[in-house]
Amino acid sequence: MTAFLQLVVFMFAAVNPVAAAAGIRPRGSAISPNAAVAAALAALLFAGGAALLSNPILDGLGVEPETFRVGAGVVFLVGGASEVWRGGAPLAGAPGSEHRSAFLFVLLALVTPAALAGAVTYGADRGEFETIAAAATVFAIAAVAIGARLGRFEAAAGAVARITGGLLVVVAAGLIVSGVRAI
Amino acid sequence: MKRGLLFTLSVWLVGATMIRATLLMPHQCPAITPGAAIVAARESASWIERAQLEDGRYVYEYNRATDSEPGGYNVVRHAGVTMSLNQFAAGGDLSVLPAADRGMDYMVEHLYRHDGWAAFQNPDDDGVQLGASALMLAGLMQRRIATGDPSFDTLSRQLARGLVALQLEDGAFLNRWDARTGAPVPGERSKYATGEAFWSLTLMHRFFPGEGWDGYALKTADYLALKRDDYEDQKFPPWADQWAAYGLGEMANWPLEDHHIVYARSLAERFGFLIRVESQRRDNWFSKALHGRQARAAGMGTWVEGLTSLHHLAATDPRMADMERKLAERVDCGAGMLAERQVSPEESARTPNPDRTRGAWFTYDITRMDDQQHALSGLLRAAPIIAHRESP
Repeated sequence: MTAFLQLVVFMFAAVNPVAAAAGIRPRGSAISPNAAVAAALAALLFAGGAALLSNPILDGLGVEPETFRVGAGVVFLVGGASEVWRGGAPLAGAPGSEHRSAFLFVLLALVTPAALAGAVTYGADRGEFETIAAAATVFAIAAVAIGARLGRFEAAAGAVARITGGLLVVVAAGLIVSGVRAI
Repeated sequence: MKRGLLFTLSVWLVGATMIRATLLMPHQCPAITPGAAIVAARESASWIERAQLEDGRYVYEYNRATDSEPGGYNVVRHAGVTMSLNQFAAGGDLSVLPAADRGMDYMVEHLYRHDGWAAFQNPDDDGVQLGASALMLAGLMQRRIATGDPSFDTLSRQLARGLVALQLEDGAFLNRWDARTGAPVPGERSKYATGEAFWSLTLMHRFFPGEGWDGYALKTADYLALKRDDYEDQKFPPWADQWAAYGLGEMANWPLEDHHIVYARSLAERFGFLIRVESQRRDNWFSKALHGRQARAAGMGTWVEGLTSLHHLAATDPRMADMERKLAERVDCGAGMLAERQVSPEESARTPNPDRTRGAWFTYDITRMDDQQHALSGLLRAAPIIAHRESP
């Protein structure tokens, strides 16, 4: 697996697009493709910004990248365990039919703490632009998944969300070990 | 909808705050210049000089809360403290040599001899401990670097042969020689002394190449790299062994084999991690509860010593080159913390016994002579690395 593909897999686990698609079950109507795309773009703005500013962010926090890896690993661990537990259950609150609230809801489903922590830690460790490209790939997948209403297939989507959560737990363990074993 | 979003955001905020307050506390690495590192090392050496007794030993411990010296002694630490003074002399300041020589004389006066070799014997219990002789030999080697004086060469060879008399087939060393039976004490190894003997033997090779000391050292290097942690049942390997790091640094040009480099890298990671964790500790109850108390100088000094040796290796061996910059950062951080925590002349002037407090490091109001030893060595060896970092 190439380093970039690996990064896409890690960011996919951190964002968990299928869990987002499964968790969004709007009352009445489906979320419009426009709202899904707009939210995915906004999510990329947040995660990409976090990746782009990863080094200034770590400097501001006064934390070494190796130490942040451990913190990001813990965030991944909690996020992954939570997804394994929830399995794509509806997220807290449900969006109304208006575009604005649907947009916010999808944005919040995508810009998870794990996604942001992943953007910062991978941005610092593997390079800002590689991380942004990986995040863009994952958010594009998320927009498609949400726009195509994958959440309709509750059982399948729930299973994929759980598996992705499990993958995130494994990635978390690797990140923590790597942070502890770095100089 | 709004309540749901607010709830989610609140949970995230609480989580972020918790992680920030625990795992992601900011690292505090006080700035330090090469000159300040040397001054701090000199202050530490001065403490040792002032704490030297008439017979060449040193004040073992001092309690500033009670202005008392609880007593006790440890000959391995005596040899270590004397070695650090010689190390300081080897750094270019020969003014500490009289004290270093008095410390050395104490060991020369208490030699055990057997079958053509020599060892430093504890006068209190007649024990012959590997670490004491190994650090005595390391001290003699540092003295030779400092002065070029060959007058201790014969004794150095005798001490080195004494170490080899305790070496096992797998490269490890037995920890003691029983002077009454005239035989090694079987089955007892020391995770400290093996590294000490290893380093001393690598130094012997520097001054006496062609005499075969490198063969003994390489055997121990293999043991340290491949077997020691398993044998010692280390729960979180590798054992943070700065003596092994000293030895590997000395072997940088031999050259080392790949498994030695793998071991050296793991040591670098361990020392670096320890410095990172230490730099997140604060002197308050919250930090103590979460991160434990701040390390004593004898501990932190060894980490800086280890890092400086591995930095030398990284600067020499391309297989470690990718670690050089980070190693220098950690050295800088460790030296900065050491210098900041040292008792300054101004602080010591406000204590009942400034001679015992100035230039020292205290943990729960107690300083032990090896606090000054390891901090001195670490700061001294950090200075050129800090200087190199500062150069454009």
